[in-house]
Amino acid sequence: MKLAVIAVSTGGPRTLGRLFRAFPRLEAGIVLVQHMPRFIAEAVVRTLNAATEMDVLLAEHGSELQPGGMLVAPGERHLRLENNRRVRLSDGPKVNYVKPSADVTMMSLTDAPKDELAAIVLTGLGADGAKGAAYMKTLGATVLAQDRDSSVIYGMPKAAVDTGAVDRSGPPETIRDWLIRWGRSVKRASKRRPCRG
Amino acid sequence: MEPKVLVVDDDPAVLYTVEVVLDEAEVPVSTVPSGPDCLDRLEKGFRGLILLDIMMPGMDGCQTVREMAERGWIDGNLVCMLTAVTDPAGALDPVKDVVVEYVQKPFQPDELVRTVREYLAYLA
Repeated sequence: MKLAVIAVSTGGPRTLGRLFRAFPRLEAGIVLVQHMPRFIAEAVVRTLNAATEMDVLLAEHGSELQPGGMLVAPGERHLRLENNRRVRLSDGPKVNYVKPSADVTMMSLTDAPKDELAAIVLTGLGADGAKGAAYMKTLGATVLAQDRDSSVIYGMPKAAVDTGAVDRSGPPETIRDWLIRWGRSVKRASKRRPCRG
Repeated sequence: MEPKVLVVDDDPAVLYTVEVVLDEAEVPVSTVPSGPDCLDRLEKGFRGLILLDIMMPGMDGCQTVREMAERGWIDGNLVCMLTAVTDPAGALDPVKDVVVEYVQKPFQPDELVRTVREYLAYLA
């Protein structure tokens, strides 16, 4: 299964609104690591569910990512993926000042067939996602970063670019188009919920 | 209607402008001129969207957010930095999982209203 990990922080909700506007269901799975207060996580899930054809859920310990599913990392827990699929939530210190940290999620991934991984680093303060995206690049991932002009804060995308791992940069709409092509959208009559662990 | 937006800025012109823009958009808004005044409103029960200037004399915006976190007043509040600083560098790093948005001054009124409405929807 194709897997994209998205890292986003300050300015994220507005950027995600552009990225996932009328977003189709993909054969890929998406993990979203948005730095945000824990109490609005459900609202973010609700908003994304309304905007996309993906099945968006707040990740739980043991959740399994499915094609067409999007798991949102809950606040104040780190999210790792076991075998690139099963969610492991954990406590522990903040990484890059944040929890969940996109670096933690990305660096939990393991080898995958060619073209099956994508790392996307969007607007945000700091450098979370840069190290993880560079690591994913070594696994064969395609790495995209939001461009400076469209970023509310260019910190995280710039840090990713500075690693030399970014394949292309662009506004959310360009990243959206790439994701859809890469994830090969499929039509379904209605949403199907990914199973929970 | 009870204000759901609190503007915190030491510049009276900014407070006035934001208040007028949001009033015209029929968004209930309240204003205070400092970080301690913001904390006072929070202690009295304000919960909503906080548009917070970074550079203020005394307690700046970053200190205000840290104090909010230490006092357990994050839940129910979203913080949007409203500032003329184009690059906050590392000043906001310790609070970046609390600050959801960053609006640069001078702002476009339409853009501000759109942003405020989007974040109020998350609090609905």
